[in-house]
Amino acid sequence: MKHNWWKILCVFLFLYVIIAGFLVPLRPGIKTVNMSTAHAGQPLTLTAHGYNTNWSIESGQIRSWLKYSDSLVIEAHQVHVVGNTELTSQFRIPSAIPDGKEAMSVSLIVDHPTDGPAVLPNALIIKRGKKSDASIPWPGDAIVDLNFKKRFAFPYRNIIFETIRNTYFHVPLWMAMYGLLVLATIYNILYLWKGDMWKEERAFHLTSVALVYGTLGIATGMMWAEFAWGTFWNWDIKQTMSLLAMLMFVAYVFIRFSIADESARRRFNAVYGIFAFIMIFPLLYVVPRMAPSLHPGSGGNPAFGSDDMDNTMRMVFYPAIIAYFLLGLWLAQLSYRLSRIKQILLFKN
Amino acid sequence: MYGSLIRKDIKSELRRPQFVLGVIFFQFCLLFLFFLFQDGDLDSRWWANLFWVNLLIAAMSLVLKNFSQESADEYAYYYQLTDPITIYIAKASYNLMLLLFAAAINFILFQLLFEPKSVNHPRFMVLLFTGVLGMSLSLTLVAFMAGFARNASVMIYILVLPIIIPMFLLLIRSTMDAVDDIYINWLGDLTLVIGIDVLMLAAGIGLFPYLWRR
Repeated sequence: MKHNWWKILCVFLFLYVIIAGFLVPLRPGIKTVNMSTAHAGQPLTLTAHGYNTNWSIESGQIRSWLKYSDSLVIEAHQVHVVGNTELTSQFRIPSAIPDGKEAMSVSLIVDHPTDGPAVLPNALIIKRGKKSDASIPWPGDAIVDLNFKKRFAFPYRNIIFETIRNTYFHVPLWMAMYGLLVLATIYNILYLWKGDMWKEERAFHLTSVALVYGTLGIATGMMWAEFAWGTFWNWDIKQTMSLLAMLMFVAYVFIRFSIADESARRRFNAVYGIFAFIMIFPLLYVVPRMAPSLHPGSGGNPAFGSDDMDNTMRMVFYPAIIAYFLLGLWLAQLSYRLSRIKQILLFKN
Repeated sequence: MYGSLIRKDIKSELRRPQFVLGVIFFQFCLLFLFFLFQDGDLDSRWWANLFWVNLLIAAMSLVLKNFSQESADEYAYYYQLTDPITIYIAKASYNLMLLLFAAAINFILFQLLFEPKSVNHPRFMVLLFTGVLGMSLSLTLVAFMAGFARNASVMIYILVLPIIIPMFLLLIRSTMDAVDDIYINWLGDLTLVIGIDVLMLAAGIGLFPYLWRR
């Protein structure tokens, strides 16, 4: 038991990630509003549809705002709750659009005493109105006293909705894969340096598990792409490059089964493994930046994780990385031991 | 030492020129097929793609043949004669010359068969050289491994393609721009290709001694 503490840790973390990742609810958010454009200088009645909201409870204290910037805010003079997930707010849109523009994009913010605030960024566009409209000045409203609540819930994001949970599967799988590959490369270098064949054997099994992880990473990424981009596979540069990276490790596995001379095969495997590990970085981190891509972290998009992750998500995300890494080590160890037993038996006969 | 190793390779190649001539013939046949289908009219995208793919197929056969014609005894002799890094660099330089020759033939065939494009020649030559350098560096390393496999000609495709495709994507894109003579970040692409070349050279020098060891 003393040496197996990490396996127990792995099982606990894995169960925690699965349970927390699937069962923790999302924070309330605003899904849609019933119109996309409005005219300046006219009254506006806006119906918003919420997600995970409890607007019928304590409906008298709900407030809502349209926000252009920190200082330019329009507060609704009347809020009417239709149901738990539907509410109507009435605004008086001022007739002047700041900075002399033709139109402005405003966000809708709804604050609820128990749910906390919900935001729909760029909810609608306000266009310049007709000259004959009555002149309504900008009110001096400000967003104050938001009911921020500390609760264990994942943030609500508008394009990805519930698939934000994929952050605990897609991203940590790739990170655990890199961890396994680093370890495999260390074993490969040790093998080339010292010549202990079991080191190479370990590296091979670690790389095989990394290949499985990478394939799962592509599969989870495809599910996410189907939801967020609309198709499972659109030959996005990041998808293409990760497919190529996987092909490189398929080639690595091919070497093992197509070279008869054992010592040559082990040397070639180790060398190709190191070479492939080096080539991963131009594949996944240099080339994708040079082409337009939908994937976060390439083509100028920000990487997911810096801004989009809050502390609740980190509480599941980091354990997920550790859990998958330990699980990978465990799988590699089992497969390594099996192969070692087979080879020793073969040698004895 | 480098000189004599390269000279030996050139001599043995010249003694049996059928193979190189065969590869050139193959290049010609492939391009002629395209010529018949395309009526001699290729847009820059097809031009760049076809140029590099044709060159890659020829290069794989040429480099693989260079390794598979030598026996294990010859390798043992080299091993006594000099150190593996010298052999790697000599082999890579010889392959570079061979591939530059193949590239020149390829380019001439393209100019003959397809209507001459407004190629920005200096830029294209720089791209061609960096690309062929990367190909020879990686192919030398990988063809040596593939030469040991039972199905060497299949193995070399499996081993080389994933490694070389990222470089090819950059090369084809910037060749397209060079053929159209437009400038979209071609220096950035060129820097990346040179970076990959340096990476391959470092990997080759670092790893080839371990392949060579008996």
